[in-house]
Amino acid sequence: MSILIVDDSKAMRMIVRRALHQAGFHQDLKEAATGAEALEVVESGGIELVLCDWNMPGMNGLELLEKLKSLGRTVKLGFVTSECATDIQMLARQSGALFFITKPFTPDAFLSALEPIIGR
Amino acid sequence: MGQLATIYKEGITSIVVDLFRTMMTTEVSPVPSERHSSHGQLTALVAFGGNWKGVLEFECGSAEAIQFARRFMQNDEYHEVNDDVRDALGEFANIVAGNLKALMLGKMTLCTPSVIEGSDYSVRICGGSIVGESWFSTEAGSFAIRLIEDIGVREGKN
Repeated sequence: MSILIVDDSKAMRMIVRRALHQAGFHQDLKEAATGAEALEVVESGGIELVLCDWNMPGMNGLELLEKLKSLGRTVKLGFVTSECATDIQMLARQSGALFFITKPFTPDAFLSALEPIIGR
Repeated sequence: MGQLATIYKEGITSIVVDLFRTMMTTEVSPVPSERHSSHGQLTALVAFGGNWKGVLEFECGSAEAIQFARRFMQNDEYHEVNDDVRDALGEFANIVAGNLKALMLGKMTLCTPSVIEGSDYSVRICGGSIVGESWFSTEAGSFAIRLIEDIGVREGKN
């Protein structure tokens, strides 16, 4: 499965990448620091799952999700974010997000949330 | 004590302990502020907008910031403050602010973090009033968290 990590924080992208490595993903991991970059990567093809931050400069995560839907992209998307409020989580789910992982998280909790999606 | 100060006081320690325990495998203890007298050399700020306006600050010295970044990213190659260290500090403030926001009432938004670096400086939020200030100690060093309300905006004094 090709996975795109979208987060304006390089540190968080590194942590998510490391957690995925621990789950056995060593290939097909791409990164984007903004929603606009993420759109470009998805448009280039091959991405099956997007792990996305909520608050980012420019286009936020929800706007990225809506943009992907409006473009007809069927890529799976879930949020990895410090936004913990239940109304935000409900909004994400209603918009079609498959999962909502809140920071801070342990690698085990992160992978447990992803397991149903990535099938490991 | 106001409602917000109560929410801050009751929530901040568990949020910070959880952050350091889960993502840095480091134990954190609250300590009295009088144990620390010097200003930190890095301050990460996350602004709140919407129904409540204010700023959350995460402040520490540069040596502590490097140690925290090493643990956060599991990378011992950081020996000086660089973009990665500043980025990690901004993420700490972001995580604390995001978790604190979930406890606060009303619709709010969070801005992306900003990080100030320097020596012998202090941060002053115009019209700001400190809601809560907490100091914490870890084996990698100490740091401070502050929640500052923008009173000027709330009372229309801009």
